[in-house]
Amino acid sequence: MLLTHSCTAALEMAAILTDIEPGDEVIMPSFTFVSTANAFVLRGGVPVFVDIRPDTLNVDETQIEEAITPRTKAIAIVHYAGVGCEMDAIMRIAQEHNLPVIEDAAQALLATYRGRPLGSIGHLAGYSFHETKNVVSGEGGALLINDPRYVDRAEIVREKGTNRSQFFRGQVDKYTWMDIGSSYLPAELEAAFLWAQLEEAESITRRRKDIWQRYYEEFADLEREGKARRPVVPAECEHNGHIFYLLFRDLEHRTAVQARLREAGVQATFHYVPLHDSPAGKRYGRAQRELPLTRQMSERLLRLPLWAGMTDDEVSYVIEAVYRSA
Amino acid sequence: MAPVIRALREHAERVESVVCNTAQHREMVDQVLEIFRITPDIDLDIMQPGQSLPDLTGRVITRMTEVLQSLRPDWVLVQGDTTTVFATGLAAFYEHIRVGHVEAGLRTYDKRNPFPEEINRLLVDHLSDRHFAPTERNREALLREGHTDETIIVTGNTVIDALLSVAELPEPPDMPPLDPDRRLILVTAHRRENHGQPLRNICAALKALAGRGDVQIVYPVHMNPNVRGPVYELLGDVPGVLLTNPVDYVTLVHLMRRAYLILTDSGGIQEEAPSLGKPVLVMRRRTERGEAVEAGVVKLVGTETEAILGHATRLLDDSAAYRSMVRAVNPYGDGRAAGRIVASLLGLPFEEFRPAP
Ligand SMILES: Cc1ncc(COP(=O)(O)O)c(C=O)c1O
Repeated sequence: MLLTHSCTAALEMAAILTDIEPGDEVIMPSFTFVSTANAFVLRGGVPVFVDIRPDTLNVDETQIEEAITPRTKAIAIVHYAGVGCEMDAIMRIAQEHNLPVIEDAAQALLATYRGRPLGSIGHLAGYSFHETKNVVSGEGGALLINDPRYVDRAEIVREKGTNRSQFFRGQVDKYTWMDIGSSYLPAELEAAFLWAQLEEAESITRRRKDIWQRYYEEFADLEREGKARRPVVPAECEHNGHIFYLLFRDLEHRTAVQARLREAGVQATFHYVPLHDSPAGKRYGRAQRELPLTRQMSERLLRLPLWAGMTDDEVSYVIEAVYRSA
Repeated sequence: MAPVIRALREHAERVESVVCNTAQHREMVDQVLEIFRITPDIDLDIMQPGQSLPDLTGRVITRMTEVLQSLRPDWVLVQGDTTTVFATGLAAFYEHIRVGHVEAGLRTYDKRNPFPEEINRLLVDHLSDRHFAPTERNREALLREGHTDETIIVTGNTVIDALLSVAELPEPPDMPPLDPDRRLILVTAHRRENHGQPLRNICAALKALAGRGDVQIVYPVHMNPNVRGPVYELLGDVPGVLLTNPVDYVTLVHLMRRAYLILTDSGGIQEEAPSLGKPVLVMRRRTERGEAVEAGVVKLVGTETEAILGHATRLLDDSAAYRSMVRAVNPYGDGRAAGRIVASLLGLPFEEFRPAP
């Protein structure tokens, strides 16, 4: 694992390491943060967007295979809200077509799929320690390398394309330009901050999961009344309490709820504008087919406040406000 | 009707809705109520052993009239083409209460087939004040029968609303064990017209498909001995074929979602699978789902072993062929039918259903 200054940086490194060249296609969900796509587009790659599953909002693994063409160079998947994608199926497809899998595990620290940590299953993966994540260092990230063939080069790519790391270890007597690369390193200060955060990672995650669970249980009636749908975590996945969202009936309903929550002093946010509908997504990528679920879910989703320092009273306040607003 | 009931509840500040269940088909309706967590406000529990049509019709009219007289609703909504629907419509008409028919305009134009449903829907459409037609074709049928355009609203089929909301739910714990290393082919085949040689042909094709080794075939088998006998005899111990008892609706939806390809002789699945973006090969000689065939998301392949095998193999091996069938456009609905129906009743703005070309 190599620390970076962001998950975006880790994904850019992954795009370099997988030798993405102009015109190479990378299969990915459209329901994700821009960095998943940007990293590859910077190398001239073409995102090929596929739809998401209705339950987890993760990439629909059953649509990956049909998106593979002779130009496909990699598969990039995102563990949305720290809930794992169907990795067995995805790795099977990747192996059959000899494609590397890059896990955008920005949100997935300490979450697992069939007992395995997310970020440890694909060939390469990125974590984020951005201030919005569970474990933070202001800006921050890491590249996870699960395939030995990428290790040596990763170190060089991260160090502006030089073998400075080898030089520091005394393996070479001077360092020089070896390959393409950029400045993907974090500062020492960030790393020191991150150290302290990582020491608390388990307690932070535990507290977040408690809050998540409380939301989940308390909103059972809301779901029963058909007003909103709660997140789905498949049995094979252990999540990390990163995001708690509700899916409302439609855009109109979501907008109304959000406005009422704002009046009650509760900040609830939505994401993502589907990448295939965005100006850059249209210019640089293409959708494999219509992506009805991506569009629908992005119109219906609302995230509720969730952070480790939230008090039980604050959680109760949010729950009550949601019931009054929905 | 469940999605419509839900949509009405979401507008509880504007409309009071009362759910009345005649329970003409007790087990079927209870399963659905359970999935959608609907408790009927009134349960007439009308089913009786060996009920005759005249008897059933009479009882529904009498009991429903009592309900309508005490509630005096502004509208009565009925859905489908059961005897309950026709008799309730008639009771409402006698009481001068407006009737809205959900799933209006479906026709075979053969009054004895299906019996008595063809006549039930024809009659209820004639006494309805508003027709919620699933598709443009259904609208045209109504226009030809002299209904005026203002009474007809093309909504898409509410079954797609229900399907999409079930697909969002967690997979049920009793899902059949699926092998993530192989592509899933979901099979349903039990229609009476396929009993005998056609079903044996289907089984032979499935056996050959399983022999490829890269697919898992899951086939929930109907309890009818004419189906169970040959299917278990021919496929009972074929590796890669998983035969199960019939599954409930939630499980079926999740199997459809997980599938790479669906082989079926069912009508409903032809309507539903395109919404999940799954290609469907229809193992029948005819289908009344012409819109789906025209839209290219469903293909009629008949019941000859070679034809089934050939079409399935092509979709498994030729990704361009596969892609051309999976456009996730559904001519039958977009999951917003219930919203349109409720908006129409409440005088709210909405757009009619128009499938993407
Ligand atoms: C799915 C996903 N990918 C990538 C990123 C980018 O992470 P960073 O801010 O560390 O570059 C984020 C952060 O919001 C994310 O949620």
